[in-house]
Amino acid sequence: MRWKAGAGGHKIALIVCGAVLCLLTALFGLSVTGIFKIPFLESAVSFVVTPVQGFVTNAYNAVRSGLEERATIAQLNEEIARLTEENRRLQAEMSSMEELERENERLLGLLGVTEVNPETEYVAASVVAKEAGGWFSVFTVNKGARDGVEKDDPVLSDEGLIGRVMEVTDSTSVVLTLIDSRSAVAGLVERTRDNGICHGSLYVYENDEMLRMNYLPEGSELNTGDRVITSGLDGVYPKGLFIGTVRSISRESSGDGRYVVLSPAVDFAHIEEVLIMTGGQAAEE
Amino acid sequence: MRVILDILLLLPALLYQSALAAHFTYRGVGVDLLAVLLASIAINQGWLYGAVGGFAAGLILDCTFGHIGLYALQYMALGMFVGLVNERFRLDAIVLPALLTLGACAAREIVPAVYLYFARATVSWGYALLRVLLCAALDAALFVPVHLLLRRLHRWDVVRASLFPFHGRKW
Repeated sequence: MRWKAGAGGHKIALIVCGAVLCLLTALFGLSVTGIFKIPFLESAVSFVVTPVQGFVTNAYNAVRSGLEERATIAQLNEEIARLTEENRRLQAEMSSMEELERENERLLGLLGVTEVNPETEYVAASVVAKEAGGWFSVFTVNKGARDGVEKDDPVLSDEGLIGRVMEVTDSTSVVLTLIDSRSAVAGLVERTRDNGICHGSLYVYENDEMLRMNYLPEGSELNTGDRVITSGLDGVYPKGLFIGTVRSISRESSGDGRYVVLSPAVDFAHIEEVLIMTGGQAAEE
Repeated sequence: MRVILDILLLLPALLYQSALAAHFTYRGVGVDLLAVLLASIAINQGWLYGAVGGFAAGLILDCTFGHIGLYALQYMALGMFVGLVNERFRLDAIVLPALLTLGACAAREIVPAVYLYFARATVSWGYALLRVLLCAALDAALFVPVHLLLRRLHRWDVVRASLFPFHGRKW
């Protein structure tokens, strides 16, 4: 069944395939810059492929959950004891937090801010496909434009910020995570109020770091464990979303100046469900 | 009939690559079942089948992950390259096709790194090269059983015997 044709046919097929390769290179270049998109093709493929991918992913998750459940029953008992203790501590903290909240409301009232994010809405979505190559950290979720998702909407989990929506079709969205090396977020160290830019560095460096914070001001005194949140200065993410904690502080300078390595708040290897913030919160900020 | 068999094998490989493969990688190093299968198809069936199969499978991945052209380019070039080299040098033994797959997969893995470099992301080239070689070595190792299996399946009588066990038997 090997393809057979005369020398002429062989040459023509080679030329056609070469031309297609050149065309693909050009298409890719244009799609990267955002000039060229084929939304109808992406929508059509998503319509067919996403349910099957969703089924396979759910089946895998069910099997993995089952195995993990069996392995962790003993751990759960320890966890219950620990959580009971933590619950007592949190209840004590909560009473002081309520006092702080009331104070905050009073101060906001003084500033004339009645509602911080009046249009905040969340869309819950499940992960149906994940990019496998080590170069990108991108995944596809089962909610799209018809659910109100738009490009650049922030994506969260209960642990913190995951990333933003990179592409939207009618029924699916592609999410670019914080740790992808194409990703950048304006960050703020909660304790010192130092501003910087958090860059994804997944598998870029040898020391398995995932997130770096660059462009920190000279003389900033950070400690390991300091929390980093979004500053809202990038116009994409609203202020106050938890990015991660400082893992190590570099004594050297990279090309972008002094930097720190962050431990992301989110476990990117095990994301199953996400929340997408819709309604243009960043603009509101 | 072989074409139908190839499509039937490519579909689960494509599903695995898009939905499950990310769970089976360690620090970004894992096997690319789709690339391995395409290399085997290109050697068994010829470069045109490898190119067309690579283009179709890559385009579906492109639409899933939102960068049109990246995967279609990689897989089509891989299928075409492996098929053409095999056709030119007539690689019959298993070792040479496996080495050819190693080279093709390494070249394929380099493409995203180059793209990231031009997308102004930081790339540590020494580390990138190490990862590329590890991925390609895993692909080449997986190629051996996959290729042997596909070669056996491509002998139509093996498939026919399993599908129609009573065909041609005298009673």
